[in-house]
This record gives sequence, C-alpha cells and structure tokens, in this order.
Amino acid sequence: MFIQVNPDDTRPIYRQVADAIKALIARGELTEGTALPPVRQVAADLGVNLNTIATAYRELQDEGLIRVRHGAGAVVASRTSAARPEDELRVPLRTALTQLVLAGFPRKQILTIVADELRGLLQGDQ
Amino acid sequence: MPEYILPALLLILAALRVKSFLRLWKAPHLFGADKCFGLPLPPVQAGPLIRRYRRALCVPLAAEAVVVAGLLAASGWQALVYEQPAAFVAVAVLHSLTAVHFVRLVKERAAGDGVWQPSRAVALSLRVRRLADYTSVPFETTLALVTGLALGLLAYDYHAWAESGEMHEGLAEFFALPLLFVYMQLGGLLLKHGLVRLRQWLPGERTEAFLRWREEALRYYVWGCDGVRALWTFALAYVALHAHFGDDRDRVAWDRVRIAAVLVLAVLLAATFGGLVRHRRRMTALRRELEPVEAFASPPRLLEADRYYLGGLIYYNAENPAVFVVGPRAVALNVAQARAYLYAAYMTGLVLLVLWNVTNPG
Repeated sequence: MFIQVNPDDTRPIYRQVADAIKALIARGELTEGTALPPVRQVAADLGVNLNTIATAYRELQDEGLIRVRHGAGAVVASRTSAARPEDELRVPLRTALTQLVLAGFPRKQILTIVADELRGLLQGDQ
Repeated sequence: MPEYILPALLLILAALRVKSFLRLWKAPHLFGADKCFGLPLPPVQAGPLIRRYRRALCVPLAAEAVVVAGLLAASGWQALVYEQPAAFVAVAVLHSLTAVHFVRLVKERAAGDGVWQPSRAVALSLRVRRLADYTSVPFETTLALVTGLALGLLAYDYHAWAESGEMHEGLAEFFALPLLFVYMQLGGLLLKHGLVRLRQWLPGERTEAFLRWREEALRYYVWGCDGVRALWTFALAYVALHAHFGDDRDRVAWDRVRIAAVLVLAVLLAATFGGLVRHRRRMTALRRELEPVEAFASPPRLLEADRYYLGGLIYYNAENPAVFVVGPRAVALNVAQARAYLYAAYMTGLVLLVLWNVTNPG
C-alpha cells in the first residue's frame, strides 16, 4: 500500500500522488474508512511542497473519494467517485489508446494490455 | 539471586556485543569480497572508505574502554552492571548510525562514478502505523501489574520499617534503584513509540520487498524493546521481593523466591533472544531478495538537505509532524516538535538517575 513519485514522470507530482491513491482505492487496497497520513506528513516524507499534496488531496476530496478532517488527517470516504458523464471519462482512455496505436502496437496486444491493467485494478473484487 | 548470575549475564552480554561487532566489521563485504556494501565500487575507492568505516566503529569502544577502566578502578566490577546495558544500547545506536552513514557515502561515490545508477523514483507507504498495532495487551497488562505490585510492596515495607525503627535509609536512597528500573522500563516504551512512528520513504525499485524487510526490521527492534522492558520489570520485582524477604527476614521464603527468580529470568532471556533470532532469520531471508544493491539503507539522495544541523543529528521543520526523521546519519531529531523535548528530558533524567544510583547506593 504505497504511492510512488518519479521526477522523470511527465505528470506533475500532485497528479502522480492523486493517481496513485485512486489506483489503491480502485484495487481495494485502501478501503472505506482507512486513514491516510495527514497532508503535512506526506509532504514532509516525500520532501515536496505542502501545497502539492494539499492539491492532490483536494482533488480526491472533490471527487468524493476521501474526506479530509482538519488536524486529523484524511480517510477514504468511498470507492466510487462523484458521477461524471461517460463522454468525459472516455477522453483519457481515448488518449491512452491513441498513444498505444501510434506506438505501433497491434490491436490484439492493445487488448491484452487493457485486460491486464483492468485485472490488476479489479483484483480486490475477486 | 545466586552470586554467579550477574557475572554470567555480563558474560552473555559481552558475547552478544562481540558477535554484533564482528557482523558490522564484515558488513562491507556482506555481498561479496569484490563489493563494498553490495556496490561494485573500485578497490582504490572502497579500501580507504572501509578503513575509515572500521576506525569509526572502534571510536565508541575506545571511549567506553576509558569509562570501564575508570569504573573498575573506582567501584569494582559491580559498576559494570549499570554500565554494560547502557553501553550496549549506546554503542549499538552509534554503530548503526555509522553503518548507515557509510552506506550512504558508498552510494554517493558509486553514483558519482557511474558504476551504479540509483532510481530517482521514491515511494511512500500510506499505512498509518500505531503503537497499538505492535502492542500485546496481555504483555502490557502483566508489566503494569508487576510494576504496580512491586512498587506497592516496596512502599508497604518502607512504611512498616519506618514505623518499627528498622529503616536506616532515607526515602530517596530506598527508592533510587527501583525508580531507575521503572524509568528504564518507561524509556523502552518511549523508544518503541519512536520506532513505530518513524516514517521513511522508500526507493522506487523493489519497493514491496523493501517494505517487507522494513516491517520485519521494525518487529525485530520492537521485540528487543519489549524484551528489555520485561527484564527491567523483572529486576524491579526482584528488588521488591529482596527487600521483603531477603537479608534473613524469611530465609525459607527467600530461598524459594530465588529459585523462582532464576527460572523466570531464564524464561525471559530465552523468549527475548529466541524471538530476536527468529526475526533476524526472517530479516536475512528478506534481505536476500534485495541483493545485491540495496543492502540495508535508504536511497542515496537526501531530501531537504538544508534542514539538517549538528552534523545531521538535528533537523528543524515545523511543517513536519514527525519527531524522528531520516537524516544523513540515519535518524535525526526534529527539534521543531515539542515531543522532541520529551526525549531530550528523558535522556537528561536518565543520566541524573544513573549518577544518583552510582554515587548513592542504597
């Protein structure tokens, strides 16, 4: 149950942190009611700015995935994020698939990759 | 307690210290004679570093030798009963700091020379560790009960002897040693709390293996802490029973108590060292998964390098709620947190209590 931050990643750090926590929630490693370390703690442990982690937590809170309690850290509120239109959710998927197609992956391999990733995310449900 | 018990315990402790020292002495070549702490550093660089490392290991022992010589001359071998456990902990801490510091130096050199490419990614466990997760309720209840009963018995005896005119010691003299034992026991709890709450970021590579190894290492140290706390509680109970039955007050009962004390001590020592050996074996097995590069240290890059002072022993960051943080010399004390002063006050109190006991034996 850990998050990873990589300076070589093109995504900003707050996005990496938010994505990593989302993945943990989706995989069922972080269940409803699980306490997360406070913003100050995570920022200090990773040696990044306080606002970076605060932004990541705020995004997760806005999506309804965590509940931040001032002075008492945060807890996982739900495994499902606030409802968003399907079209909006398809955009990042389409972008990722486009990159795989442009990288020259054949259709069968792309399907295998997607299935592998989905299996990893839903392993907690099995 | 039979007269041979204390010398025997000192000998066991000495054997453990020699074994521990030899393990650290050989640590640079743990992963092969051609490696330095698991890294392929050229011999021209590794040689001087290893010599410096080994000299640094000897420094605390040389300082302790001076203290031991002084104590032997002034108070005889009995003074070692106080000195050796304290020196055991102090030297172990200094040796650990030395080892981690040199591993970091080796990593910096290896990364600088390009013979090793560290991962730039860092990971962080989101698990919030609590003291309760590492606490056995029956164990803590037993310690609290024995401590309470021993102090109660001492208080009863002191009151009874004071009334009958048998008491030749002042209150402070009578309770100096028991107070030291209680203080040491509470110190173990404080140390355990610090260990559990110590947070550390992890290398981006082989993070899960690292986490498993760290968890086992934590359980090893927590077990050691609890074992030592149990031994201090035993010592307190023994002193209370000696005050009540010993010195020909009740010879039959005291003989029984002595036999029971030896048995309890044997069980405590067996449980403590047996548990430590079990955890050490698990740690060794997990460490093999991390071979050869990440022997037992954190990544080479130090975060917030400008926040460390006094050679890396002190850290100042009011935004960081942790009391102990990973620093250039393994662990640094965050003096921006009020709880850091609790540890400082404890250490000051400990020094004063030991001095009080050595200079005013009850």
